[in-house]
Amino acid sequence: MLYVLCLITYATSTYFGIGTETYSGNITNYTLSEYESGKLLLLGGKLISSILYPTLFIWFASIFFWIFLEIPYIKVVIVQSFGFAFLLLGQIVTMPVLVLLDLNLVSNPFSFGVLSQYAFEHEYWNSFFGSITLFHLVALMLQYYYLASLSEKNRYVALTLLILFYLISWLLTGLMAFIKIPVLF
Amino acid sequence: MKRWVSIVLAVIVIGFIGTNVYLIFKEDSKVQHTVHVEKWSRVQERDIVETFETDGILVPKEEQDVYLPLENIEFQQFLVEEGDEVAIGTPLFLYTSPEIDSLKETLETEITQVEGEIEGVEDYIDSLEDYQSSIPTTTSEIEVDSILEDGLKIDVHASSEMIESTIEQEIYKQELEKRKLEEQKTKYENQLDNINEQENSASMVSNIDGVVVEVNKNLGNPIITIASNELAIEGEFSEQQLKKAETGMKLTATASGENKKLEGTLDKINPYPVNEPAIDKENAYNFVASILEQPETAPIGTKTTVSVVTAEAIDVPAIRDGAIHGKKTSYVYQLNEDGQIKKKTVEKGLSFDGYTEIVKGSDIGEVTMLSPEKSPQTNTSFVTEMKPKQITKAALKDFTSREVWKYILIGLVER
Repeated sequence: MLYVLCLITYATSTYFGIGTETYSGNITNYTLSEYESGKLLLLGGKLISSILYPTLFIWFASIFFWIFLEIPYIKVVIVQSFGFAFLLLGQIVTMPVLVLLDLNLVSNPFSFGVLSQYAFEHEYWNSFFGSITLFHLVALMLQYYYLASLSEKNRYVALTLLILFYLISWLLTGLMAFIKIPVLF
Repeated sequence: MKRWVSIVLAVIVIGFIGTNVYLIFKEDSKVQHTVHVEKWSRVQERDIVETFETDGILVPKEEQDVYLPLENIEFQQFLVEEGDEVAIGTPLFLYTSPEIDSLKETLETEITQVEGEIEGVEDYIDSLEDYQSSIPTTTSEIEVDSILEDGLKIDVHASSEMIESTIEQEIYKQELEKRKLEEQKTKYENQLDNINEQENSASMVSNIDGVVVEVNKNLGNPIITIASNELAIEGEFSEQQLKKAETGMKLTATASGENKKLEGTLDKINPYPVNEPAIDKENAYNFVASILEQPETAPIGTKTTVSVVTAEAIDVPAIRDGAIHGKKTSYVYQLNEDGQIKKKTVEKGLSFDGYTEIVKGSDIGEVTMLSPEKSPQTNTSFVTEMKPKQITKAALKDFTSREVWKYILIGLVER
């Protein structure tokens, strides 16, 4: 269910061109059908990631919470699923905002990317802060509330683990927004 | 959760989003934008032809009146009746006259004169053909023979194709002229033959191919009227159309029952209205247009729709009207190869049927944004919406495997 929802969300955002900035320049050299067909490949990549990310977020991350917090694995998975569902909801809400206001993910008004663009020059930090959104913070609090109450361990262990987990995911998404694939080729 | 906590949280969230929105839209915002382009259009090579349409009708190109050739004449008999078809040289009537000898002489001098004219036209055609073959096929610097150039009214900046087509038309016109002169010559020769045959009587012969429309039995002038087989188009212009029209303009006409479009030129515009000018009425003005190639089947009186070409630009960069903005100076938003939007000033040319010629500022193949609802900042990134209908298997196969992986990776990794 979540996978399907995630698939649809990613596909729709690609349909509207979100995150395809580095591809846009091809518009001048390619014929219309080449240009549009290339986007099908982008969509293919997006679909792979729509399977990859929920897997990492729900199944993979749960392993760590299970090890360190000593909560039954299946319960952690359920908590993580709720967290992920909430983040997905955030993406769905963000999508029309980006399209209608002509913004990109770094300038997402629900994120810290806007403030960071006034504070920093460096693009990496901007894309890092751009990937921290209000939805993440709420999801973090929700997950903390459930994990802390499920675990018999010190609640600060859960908080530290969660913050660490989110920090890593922000650093990675920040990096992914920063990377320009065409430069590598 | 206590109530005040949730209120504080809500205020913080709303304040946060509000600040962000303010920072995004304040002037000189530092925030990156990505314009979501819904529609765009490529600058294409097109012919832009400005035309207007009016109704016309096929009429004989000319009605020729035949007059008695000499004053002192004894009329013998008519050889044709009303409705008869005649060709050049067909005898029309017989007469005798003491002045026949001098007529003979006149005819002979006429023939020599016409022969001289034919030679002149032939020379001109030859020089046109020479010139035509000297035109290089590429559009580079073309040395235009100044005398011919003036005669043909060729624009110095015209492309070689345009020059060629102008010359072709001119040759065509000259050949028509030559044919007419030759016909005239045949007519004179026939007339001369007729005189020689019958010592003291002569016959008047027809000047053109056509149909006899009137025979004046009272022997008054004109004694016979012949309508030519060659057709022309006659019609009316409205006041607005009169302002745009000029003699010499090209036109096309669609006649009912005729598959091919008739091409022609505007020969004559009568600046005096058809009806007496009146304040409360729209005036109409007569025009006559010649047809380059005669229609095969359409008879006299066939109604046609005439579209007059008031201006044309062939093979020029053109763009959809919606892509051009600005009132005083025109500009377009170009989507360039760096994935950025750039504002470019352009110079507009002709505009017709939803397309506008770009004289300066944009070239064929460039992509421009179509009708943005708000003017986008320039030098920002852009992305485009997918057009699933345009996806083809063939295009997918054309990608190298390197490109395929590159684009899949962009989709996979980039956010």
